[in-house]
Amino acid sequence: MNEKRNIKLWVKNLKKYYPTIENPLKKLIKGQEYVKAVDDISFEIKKGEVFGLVGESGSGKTTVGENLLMLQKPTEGQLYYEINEEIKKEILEAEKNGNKEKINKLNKKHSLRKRKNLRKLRKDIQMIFQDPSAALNPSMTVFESILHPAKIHKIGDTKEERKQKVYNMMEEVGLTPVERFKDKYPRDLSGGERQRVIIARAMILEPTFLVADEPVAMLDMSIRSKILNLLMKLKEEFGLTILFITHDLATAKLICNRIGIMYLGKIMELGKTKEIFENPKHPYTKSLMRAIPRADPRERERDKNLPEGEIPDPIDMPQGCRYHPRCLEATSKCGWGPRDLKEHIENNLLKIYDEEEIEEMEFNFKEDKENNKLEIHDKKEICNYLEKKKKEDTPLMNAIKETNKNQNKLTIKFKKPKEPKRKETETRAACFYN
Amino acid sequence: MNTEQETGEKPNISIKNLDITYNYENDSEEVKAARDINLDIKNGEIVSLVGESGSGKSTIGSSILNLLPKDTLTRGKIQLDGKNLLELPENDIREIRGKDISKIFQDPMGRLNPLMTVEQHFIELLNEHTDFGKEKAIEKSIDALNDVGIPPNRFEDYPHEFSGGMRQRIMIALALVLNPRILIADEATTSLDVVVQSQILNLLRDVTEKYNTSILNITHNLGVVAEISDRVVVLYGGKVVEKGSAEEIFHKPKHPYTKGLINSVIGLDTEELEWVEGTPPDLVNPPSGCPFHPRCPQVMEKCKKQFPEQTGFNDSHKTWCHLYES
Amino acid sequence: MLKSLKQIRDEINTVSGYKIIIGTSIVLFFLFIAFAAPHLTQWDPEKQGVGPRLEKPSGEHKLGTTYMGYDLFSRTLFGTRTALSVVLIATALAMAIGIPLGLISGYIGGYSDRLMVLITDALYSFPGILLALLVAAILGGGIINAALAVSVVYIPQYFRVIRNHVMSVKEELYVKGAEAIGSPKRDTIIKYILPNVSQSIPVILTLNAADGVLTLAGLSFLGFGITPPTPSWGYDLKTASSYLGLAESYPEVWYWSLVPGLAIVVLILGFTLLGEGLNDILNPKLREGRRR
Repeated sequence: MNEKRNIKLWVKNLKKYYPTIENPLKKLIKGQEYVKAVDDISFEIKKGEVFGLVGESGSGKTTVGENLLMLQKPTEGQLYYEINEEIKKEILEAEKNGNKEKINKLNKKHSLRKRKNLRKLRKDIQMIFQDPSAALNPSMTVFESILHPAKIHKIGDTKEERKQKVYNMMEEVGLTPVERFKDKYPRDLSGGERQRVIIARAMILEPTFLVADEPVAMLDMSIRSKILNLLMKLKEEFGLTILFITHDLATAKLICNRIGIMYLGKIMELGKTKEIFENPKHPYTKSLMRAIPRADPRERERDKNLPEGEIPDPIDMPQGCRYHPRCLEATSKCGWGPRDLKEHIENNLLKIYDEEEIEEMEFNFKEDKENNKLEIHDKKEICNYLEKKKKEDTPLMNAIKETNKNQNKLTIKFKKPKEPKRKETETRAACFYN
Repeated sequence: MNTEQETGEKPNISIKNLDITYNYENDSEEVKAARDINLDIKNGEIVSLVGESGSGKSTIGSSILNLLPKDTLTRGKIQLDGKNLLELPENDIREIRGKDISKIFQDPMGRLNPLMTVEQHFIELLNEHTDFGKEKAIEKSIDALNDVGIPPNRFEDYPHEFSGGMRQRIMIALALVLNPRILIADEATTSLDVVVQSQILNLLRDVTEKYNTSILNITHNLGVVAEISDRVVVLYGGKVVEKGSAEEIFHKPKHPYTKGLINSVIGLDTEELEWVEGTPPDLVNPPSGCPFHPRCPQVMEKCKKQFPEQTGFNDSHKTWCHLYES
Repeated sequence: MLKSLKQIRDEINTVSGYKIIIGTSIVLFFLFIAFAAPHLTQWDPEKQGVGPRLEKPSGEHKLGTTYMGYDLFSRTLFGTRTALSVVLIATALAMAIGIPLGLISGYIGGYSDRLMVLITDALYSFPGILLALLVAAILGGGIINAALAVSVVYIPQYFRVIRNHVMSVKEELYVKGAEAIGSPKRDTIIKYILPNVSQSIPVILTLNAADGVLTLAGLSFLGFGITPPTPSWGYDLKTASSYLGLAESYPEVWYWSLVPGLAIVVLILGFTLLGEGLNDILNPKLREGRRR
């Protein structure tokens, strides 16, 4: 039966929001706000493949992994485990018809969030962590660390058999000679050895699905490849499906069959590794590729055409396409608004005024998010600057719908923002450009 | 022993026969963190120290500013303007820190005082080393921040109000405001994302050009090394095993370790996984002879017995390996 | 554990090393007295009129006798027994209740944790001696009851220290790792959290023992907890103190109050030195902070 279930995992509309305000009094006054760490993402992982989730820190990729392992509870969305196209169709149909009863029934049967036999699944889905020195209990020896999961899930019938299994697994991951390693504590091991212990601890449960969260990011360059090679070897031997979470596109390119590129909680582009690298569609993907340092001084480039700034604070998500403020290919319809203009003016203050004037000046910006407009108290210099700027053909200026000058107030209204959607079948990238 | 006089130009800082041993005076086992290090850095030059954990790269960086733990034994010379930094009293070193030599770290948040604004950080630093008035100090600070791309309206913000990359920019501005001659960057871009890392590397190159500052870049990331270095020094087990220009190290590597290290980099054009077998050496009981011999694919009998002599290929490119000894 | 022993060896020549050595010697000395008390004196500490009242120290009564005709030397020796057994029972009780509560409350978190914190904080904010007085008044006298009264004061301390430590340890990746391999809550607490919070226990234990000696003395000084004729330093100190003002008519009373008082002070000093020394070694961060 399982052979037919060729979709290992279907992540459907997964959301994970964290409340920002914990004080109940403040909550009453201001209303609850959320950090949208994972904001409605969907993808599927086929059986036996390595799926890469690539993104910078703060993109939400680790949150996705921890949600899959039920280490955190998703805010919304379902995680369907071991299904096939038919079941998928059934779920989509029931959803279309609004048949809640049927959805509930299907969810109970297939979704990790609702299924009953979680204990078996806990064994089936395992995780490898980024920081091997933090992921091992400092007061357990190597042997104890690997033995404990086997004990919990009653792998092996006798004590002796269990012990033998631990030794075999230690050999499998290259912790040899076993005698030398088994009684060591994590602090006596090198980073690579610690990561092997973590891999052994996960693999002793003979899982079929492995979430590898940046498994080599904290290791020395010279042994990263060796650990990756070990993972790939285990994948072949145990028929694993792997979700590989990384910030490193080059590694992802080497070992993943398909890749999803995340930015601020959303998947910006998803597709086969080869297609993405041969023909990246999303401007963000392109920038990430350009930013990878080349280990070759001859290819040194000063101007890599990189986006400015950094991943913004998810509490205050940009409207429209969330990448637009940094996008090098943005157009006027990407979701520009009052905040972008405010930032633009602030960042260009030096060009308008002298330093001393800035010190004394107070700007009266009034953002109106609902109507997407910005009010500025009339300052001759700002008006002149804007007038001049408006003649330039920048996306921010082109996004301005109308400007009103009213006594001492300047009101600038923007077009309504829209967020680009990635349709699974048609386009690979969530970008208006496509 | 291997004092180098490569060009006629006077080096900015010169490290000679440096040995560093941790836990020298207490009962714990001695850690031989660095042995016989020789290194000259010229004005405006970017030199990278590359190696794995336990290669001694950070130790060497810390020894320059005398930031090592108390029970550490240092032998040899670190010369700046004819003074041996290792023998200077603490007060004089304090004078030099931040003024002649400054340092940036992997974790800028840990180095900034969370209770002080950016402005206060600058004022404190400038008060300690200069007798600028407040106005001149602020002017200087705003200039420095401007150089690293931080807008002046953020001048009175607290460190936690900045993102990771911005904090590293502030650290760089603080490090450069007194126009030091040497900037030590210890894994300064390691915890940053690729895009931000690229930005910071560009920034470092720009400021060295502008101020003619030398950089001692300490990292394990060969991509970063290739991006910014003029010269590269490869360390293994506390010893220098190869040094040369970036071009020489990346395109004509000689030492088996250097070769292994370069091959193990995963880049966009990597097709097969390659690595250096084995684990980093134990510095309490370092391997005999060449420290790399237990991991070396081309090991010979004499590698186990004695550390090789220097082999020079030209003025700048040198290696310490028995394979090349004539 | 091995490492901490090694550290202790390294530290032995430092100030913290001396603290531990002196502290341990003092505590061991008192332990010896407690065990050997019957062999060190021929007098029954609970018997009145073993000699004439208020006699000066002599060969027979090494520290003299009290107004009621108790032998002071014998009472001080046996008082060590009382003090140590009360403190032992009290700390054991406080640990047996405070540590598991702290572990569970900290690990589970949520509203039950907040409630526990509220309750223990309320208890903690009470002056210790008042709380002990209240419990002692309700339960009455005797060694076990006195121990109960003293332990009530220290349960919140164990709870707070352990719970706060758990709160930070449970954020460690290895606890998440334990959850990822499907470790049951009980296993996670016992195998992953307890070993990593236990280094703070010896420190609270010794410091609380020091405090316990004082609380117990205070209780019996006020006439609660240990009641006569059970030998108790606090009680002897109190009876002696009422004669202090009359020193002119009773010139002997100075040693009557001095001896039990000195015993209290020295035992507390012993426990405190031991606790401080352990703290210096087991919490290296704190130690570095102090050095700088």
